[in-house]
Amino acid sequence: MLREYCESAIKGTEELLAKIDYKKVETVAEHILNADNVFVVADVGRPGLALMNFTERLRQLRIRAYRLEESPPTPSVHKGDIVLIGSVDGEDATSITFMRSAKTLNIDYDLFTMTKGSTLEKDATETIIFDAEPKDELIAEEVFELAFYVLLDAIVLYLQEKLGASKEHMQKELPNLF
Amino acid sequence: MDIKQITSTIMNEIDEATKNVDEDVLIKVFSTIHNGNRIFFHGNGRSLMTIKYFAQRLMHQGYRVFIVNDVATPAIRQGDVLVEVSATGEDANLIAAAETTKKIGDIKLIIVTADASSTLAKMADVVVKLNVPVPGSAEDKSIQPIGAQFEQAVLYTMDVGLSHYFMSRLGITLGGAAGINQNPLHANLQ
Repeated sequence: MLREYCESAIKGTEELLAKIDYKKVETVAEHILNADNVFVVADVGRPGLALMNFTERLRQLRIRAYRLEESPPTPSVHKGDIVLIGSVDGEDATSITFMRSAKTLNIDYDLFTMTKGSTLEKDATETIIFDAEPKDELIAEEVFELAFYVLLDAIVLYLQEKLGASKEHMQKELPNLF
Repeated sequence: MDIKQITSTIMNEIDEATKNVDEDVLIKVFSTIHNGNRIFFHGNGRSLMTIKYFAQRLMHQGYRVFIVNDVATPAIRQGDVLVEVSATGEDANLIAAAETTKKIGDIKLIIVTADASSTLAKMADVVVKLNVPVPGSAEDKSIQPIGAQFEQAVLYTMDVGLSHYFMSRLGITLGGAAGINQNPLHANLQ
């Protein structure tokens, strides 16, 4: 029974990942490589958890990556930086508050969402749409969250290849104090 | 490889990693958590971040859930459950926390790991051994950075598989067609 749930989830994730516009994903990867700093808005539920995991991997690639509003390590954001947002409906209050200040400061952000035409999409530099559908017992949001998690892990590998960073090199950057 | 090809390879690794998990053990996780008083989660880095998906779903289902080291987390007491996630099963801080629960007594310890013979696995009441090699070991053939396949196995097995098993046992859904936002316990402050 449990394995069946996993199989549905895997199939649902694969079907959703097959519908993504990978040219746009590559553009986001380029934004990350070319940015002075990368920031993620990680206050928004489960997409936020995926972005925090992603930030940890970016740091292992020696890309300067921060979670917005995490004090003390997070510095201010400036033009030339890129902000990443993950949001189911593109209407999260935290992200919209950020978006308003980003506009006035001329800061670019890329959006990962399952909803077209949202408030956040309007000013996003690039938007990756996940056209998620329910799969067996899984609701569409769950399929989106899984595909988002996997896509971010795939971007890590892509960046790793671009930067020529080996697995061993990344392992050296793992936290070693607990 | 382009990103689309990479996602296919990762999905194959996830498929492999979610096979052959002992379902009886997962059902034991259900009964241990269901019969526990409060549920504490402990882990490091991405493993902790990933088990939070499952922890959140338990909260949605009405369980009292805490994350070790959060400022609002109280002392663990007899009758509670500690869930620890560690691919190697050798994280010093997790071992120290497990030892603390043994001193207090009557706290069930659930370990989610890639190594069933690790220190933490030996201390646990329930060992969830995921179908991935110990990250960095000679058997680890994953193309991904250290631990990624384990974390994905945690996500799919614990969050998807086990969460849905909980929901079917408890006869509840994630909010049906109306979506997760209809769950009365879904966060409403940002």
